[in-house]
Amino acid sequence: MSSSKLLKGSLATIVMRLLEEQEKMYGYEITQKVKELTAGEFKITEGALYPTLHKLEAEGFLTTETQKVDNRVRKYYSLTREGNAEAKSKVAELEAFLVQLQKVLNPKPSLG
Amino acid sequence: MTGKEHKSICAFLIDHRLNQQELFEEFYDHIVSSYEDRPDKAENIHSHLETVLKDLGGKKGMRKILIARHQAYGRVYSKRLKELFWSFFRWPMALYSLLILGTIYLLTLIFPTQQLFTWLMLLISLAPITIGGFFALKFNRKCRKEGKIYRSRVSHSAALKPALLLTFPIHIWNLSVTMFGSDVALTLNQNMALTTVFTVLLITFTLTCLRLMTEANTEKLTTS
Repeated sequence: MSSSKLLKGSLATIVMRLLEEQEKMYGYEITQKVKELTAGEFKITEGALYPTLHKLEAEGFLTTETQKVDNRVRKYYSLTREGNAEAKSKVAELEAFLVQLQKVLNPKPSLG
Repeated sequence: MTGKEHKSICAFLIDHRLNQQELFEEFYDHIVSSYEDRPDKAENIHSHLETVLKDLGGKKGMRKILIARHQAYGRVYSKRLKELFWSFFRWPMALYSLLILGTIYLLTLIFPTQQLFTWLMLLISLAPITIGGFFALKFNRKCRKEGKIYRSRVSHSAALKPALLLTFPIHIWNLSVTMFGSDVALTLNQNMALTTVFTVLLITFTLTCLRLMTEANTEKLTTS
């Protein structure tokens, strides 16, 4: 299974975590940041990223502002107050899941 | 970015129906950013657009993006529509609703005929569609004047949808009553108390739609 498929379920969490760190980012910047942080191992496809961004925005977790950059309009996303709280909860949830997943993937031999 | 490259990107976006302002601007910036950032500078815009299309999930993926964007706006606007509608029943906006109720009640006393209300409701139900159409046309003309590629906004169509969805059946209902006069419809329309309440609710909903459209037009309410 490709990493893209595994990433899909955690995409909203990844986006929110990045925005927690960076304050505001635009779509292309998010894809590049993930690529950079994972040394190219993870690749977020735009086909998955934009619907996620738009969904989070509609749910009130993200807010946007536009800026003119090199004669074109750039749309920046940032977390709302609700988004900040949601990001923390989603990251904690994912971390807990990874701990459990680790237990399943690497079970310690039982002593008894 | 050369003029030719700019034209190729615009044609690509138009071809894939990303031709409304919000979608066009976001994806135009995305494509230009990725093109400027391409590792192989020998890659031309056409092969770069092929890569972009692949990353967007092909034609099917782009269609999904388009639908998701419209759905996201739809959710935001229907939430806002509910907020605006209920605000007419809360202080201080409730004053307007009481004023409308009083006016309609007086009208029923002065003109105790259902015909007047049928036509009044017809006119009222047409108002949001007319005003929404006016805003869309105004935006279209502005875009033409400024030489923009896009001609419409997702927010305009999202704000117009509730007005179309809810006032259109009322419009049909009233027309059928006027033209065919079914017994049930006549009984309902002859009940002035019911007609008054229904008219007040319709006017309130119409005002709600108008406020929503004004917000969408002045960009007070955006998911942006």
